[in-house]
Amino acid sequence: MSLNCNCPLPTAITTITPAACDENFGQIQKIAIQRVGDDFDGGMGNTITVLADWQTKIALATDVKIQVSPFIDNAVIGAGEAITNGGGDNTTLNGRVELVGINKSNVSGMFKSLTSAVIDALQSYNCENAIGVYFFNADGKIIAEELSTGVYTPFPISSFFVGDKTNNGFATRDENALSFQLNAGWSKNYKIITPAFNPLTAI
Amino acid sequence: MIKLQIKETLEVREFEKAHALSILRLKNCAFELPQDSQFEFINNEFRSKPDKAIDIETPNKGNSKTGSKPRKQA
Repeated sequence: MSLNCNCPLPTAITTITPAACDENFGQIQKIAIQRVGDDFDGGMGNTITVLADWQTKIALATDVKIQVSPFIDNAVIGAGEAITNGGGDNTTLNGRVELVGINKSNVSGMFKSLTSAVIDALQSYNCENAIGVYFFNADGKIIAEELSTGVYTPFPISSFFVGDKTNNGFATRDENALSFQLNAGWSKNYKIITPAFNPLTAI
Repeated sequence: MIKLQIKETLEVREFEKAHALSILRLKNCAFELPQDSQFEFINNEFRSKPDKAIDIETPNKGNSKTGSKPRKQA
């Protein structure tokens, strides 16, 4: 049993209702970054599918400001691995592997051909300690955390890092590595949202 | 405060001036100034719309307050 589990356990194991359709993110191409604490609640002027509501936040100069990243190549979300003790030795009962937690999920990607001004802006987020991200996929859909029905927030992240420019010489594009971590269990409440605009091009 | 309207729905919203300016400077901006706004957005700045041209053809209606009033007799 993981240390993250509720106690006491429910009376029966949880029912899994088969989904009617498969679900995949596809290729993530951009992220939108915001300090945590704000949401799109679906109310007037605060709806995640409305371009004007995104632009209202993008233009702000407060904690609510949203910034959309440049395109990200090779974006990958890894799974947070199990944190365990022992296994096949004397440190645990009967030599079992003792599950004690789950690591955060590592996200990595690559920005290409950035200017120094953009690198400077992106690296300023390395100092932020309470930010979150929305994902935009290749289909122009927004992937967000659904707090409750119709209320969306960015996924809280940690260890946001954009590295310095790397140069590989002739006929190559310079690159800046991106990495951050999503909280364990981040994918329990995600929602893929189809906006009324294409977030890859409109914002 | 400055009123902006959403181009698609014509819904009008009010913003602080600096916020409104930042919004209108965005590419593919979903907002615009309403027709009846006292401002126009030129070269990424707000400017007051020029006053309407003075209509010199309209005859004087004779409501001028210039001139002296008859003195009251003591």
